[in-house]
Amino acid sequence: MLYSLLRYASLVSILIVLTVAGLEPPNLHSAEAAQAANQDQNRLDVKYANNVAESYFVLVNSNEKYTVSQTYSWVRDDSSRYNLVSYSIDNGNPMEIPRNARGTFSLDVPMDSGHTVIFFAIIQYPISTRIDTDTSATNNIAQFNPPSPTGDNWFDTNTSIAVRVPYHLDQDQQSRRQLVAWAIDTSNPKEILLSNSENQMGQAQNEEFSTPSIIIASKHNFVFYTMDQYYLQVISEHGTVIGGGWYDSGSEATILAKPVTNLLVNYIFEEPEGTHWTEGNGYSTKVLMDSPKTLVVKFNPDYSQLIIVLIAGAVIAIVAAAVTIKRKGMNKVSVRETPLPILDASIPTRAITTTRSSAALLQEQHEGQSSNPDVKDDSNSNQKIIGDEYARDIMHFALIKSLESLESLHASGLVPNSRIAGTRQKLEQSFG
Amino acid sequence: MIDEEDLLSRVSKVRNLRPECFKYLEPSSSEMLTQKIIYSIAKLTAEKMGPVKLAEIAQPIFGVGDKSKQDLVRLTIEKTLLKCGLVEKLHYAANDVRYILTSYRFQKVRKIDSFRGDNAEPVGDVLELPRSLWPVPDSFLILLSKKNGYSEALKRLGSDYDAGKVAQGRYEELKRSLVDSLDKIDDKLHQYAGVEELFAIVVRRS
Repeated sequence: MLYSLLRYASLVSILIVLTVAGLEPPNLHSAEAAQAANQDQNRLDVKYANNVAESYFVLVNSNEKYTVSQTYSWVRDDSSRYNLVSYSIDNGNPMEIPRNARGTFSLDVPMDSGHTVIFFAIIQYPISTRIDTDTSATNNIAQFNPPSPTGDNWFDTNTSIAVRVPYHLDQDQQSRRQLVAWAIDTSNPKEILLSNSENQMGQAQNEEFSTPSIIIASKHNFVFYTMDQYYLQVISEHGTVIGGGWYDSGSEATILAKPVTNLLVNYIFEEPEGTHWTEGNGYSTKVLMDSPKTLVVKFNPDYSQLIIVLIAGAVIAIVAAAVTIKRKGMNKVSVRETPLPILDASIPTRAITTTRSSAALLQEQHEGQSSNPDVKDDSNSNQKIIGDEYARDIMHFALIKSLESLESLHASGLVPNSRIAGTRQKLEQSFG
Repeated sequence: MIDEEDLLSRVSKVRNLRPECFKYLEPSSSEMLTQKIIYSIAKLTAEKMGPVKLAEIAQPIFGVGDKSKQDLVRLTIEKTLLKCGLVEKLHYAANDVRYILTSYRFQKVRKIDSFRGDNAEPVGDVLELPRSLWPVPDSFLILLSKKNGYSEALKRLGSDYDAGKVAQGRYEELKRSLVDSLDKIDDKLHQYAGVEELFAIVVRRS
C-alpha cells in the first residue's frame, strides 16, 4: 500500500514538473497496471455477532478462494469462554457448526466477489463435580444430564442441567459408600434421601440420585458427600433371624434370632463369643458395625423328646406284633436279603419267601396256580436269572463309566492326587 | 459348618477385584505374607471342607502357630484381605473365629465411565487359584461321575434292546430305574448351580 502511494506521489510530481517545464507527459503504462491489479482484488470481511471478538477484513485476488480459520473456543474471562455455534455468509441463513471444545474451524470462501462472514458464538461456563474430597475418581461416576454439548464439562449459558450419581459407590459384597448429601459450591448441603424402592438389604442398588436441574449462568462445583456402610450377614441353621444387611459405619445393628418351632425337637441357643445376647421374645443382640461382619447364630437341636416318643412307639409296635403272632401262630415267615441288581445296591431289597402250610400248598397245586412265579414255572425262573445277570452287567458298565469320568476330573486337576484313591473307593462303594 | 452348596458357590463365582487388591494374587506377590495367607487358607479349607482358624493358617506359614504369629496373620487379614473382600470372617462360637476365601477365581477390573451404566471393565484373564485347592466335596465328585456312568449305561441299554439282547419287560424295568436315578442325581446337582457347567468346561479344556 505504502509502496503504491509512493509510486503515485512520484508520478504526480514528475507530471507537475513536466507540465511546468512545458514538456509532454511520459508513458503511464506502469500506474495503470497497478490500478488494474487493485481492481482484481476482492474484500472479505470477517465479523462476530455481538462483538464477541474483533472484526477484520482481507483483500483476496479474485477467482481465488480464501480459508477463514477460527478456533472453536476462546477465552471470555476467568470463569467463562465463547464457543462457536454457527456462521452466515453475506447475511444469509446461519449455518450450524459442529460443536467442539478444542481445535479450529475452517471455512473456504470463493472470492469471485466481496463477501462478509459473520460468526455466532455462545457463552459457556465450566461445571465441576467432587465426591467427598476426591476429585479424581468423580469424573467416572458423576454424569451430566444432558451431557455437555462440547463433550467436556462446559455448558451453554441459560441451559439447564442435572448431575446424576449412583446412590452406592465402590460397592462390593461387604462394603460400600452411600450418598448422604450434596451441595452446590459447598454451600448449604442438602440431605439425600434413599429412593422408595431402596431397602437395607441393598436392593435397587443400581439406582442413581439426580440433583434438581439448575440454569447455567456462572461456573459451579457440585459436591457429593458419602458415608461408609458395611454388610452384616447373619447365618442361622435352625433359626429365623430379623436384622442383618447394610449398616452405616459406626452404627449398631440389632439382631433378633428365634429357633424354628418343632414339636419333637427343642433348639438350644448357643451364644457366639464376643457378643452379649438378651433373652426375651427370642434372642437379641447389638453389633457395632465398624467393618463387614458375619454372625453365626447357632441353635443346637435337642432330640430327647423325639427319642422318648420313638421308644414309646417301638414298644407299642413290638407288643402289638407279639400279640398278633401269638393269635395266628400258623404262618412262619422267613426273610432273606438279596442285593438290588440295579441302581444303589447299598439299598437292600427284600425278597420274601413264604413257607406256607402244607394244606395251602396242596390247594395251590391242585388249582395249578402259584402266587410266586419262581415256583410256578422253571422257564420263567431261568429268564429272571438271565435278566439279573444282564442288570448286573449294566450296573458294572455304569460303574466303569463313572470311574472313567472320575479319572477325567482327576486329569483336569479337579481331584487332587491326595484324594483320588479315597474318592474312587467311595464311588465304588456307592455302587455296592 | 459351611455346607457343600456354599463351598461350591465360592468355586463357581468369579470375583471382581480392583487392581490394588488383585495384586495380592499376582505371581510377583508370591513372597508376600498376604499371598501366603491366601494359599494357606485355600489349602486348609480344601482339606477340612470348611473355614479355618488363625492358628491353623499361621502354622504352615511360620512353622509355629503361637499367639504372636496368629496376631500377625489376623492383622494382615483384617487390614488387607477382609477389606478387599478376598477373605470372609465367620464368628462361630466362643473363642471360635474362622476364615474362608470368598472365591477361587478372580477378575481384575478397572473403573470406567460408560454410557451403558457399567462402572467396571475387566482387565486380562480370570485368575484361578490351583484347582487342587478348590474345596470340592467327594459327594459332588461322586454325583458328577455317577451321572456320566448312568447316562452311558442308559445308552448301552437302548442299543442292546434295539439289538434284541434284552427282553422288553426287563428293558423297561432297567430303563425306568436308570432314569429315576439320573433324575435324583440331577435334583441334587441342581443345588450347585453353575458348578457342573464350570467343571464340564474345565474337563473339556484339559
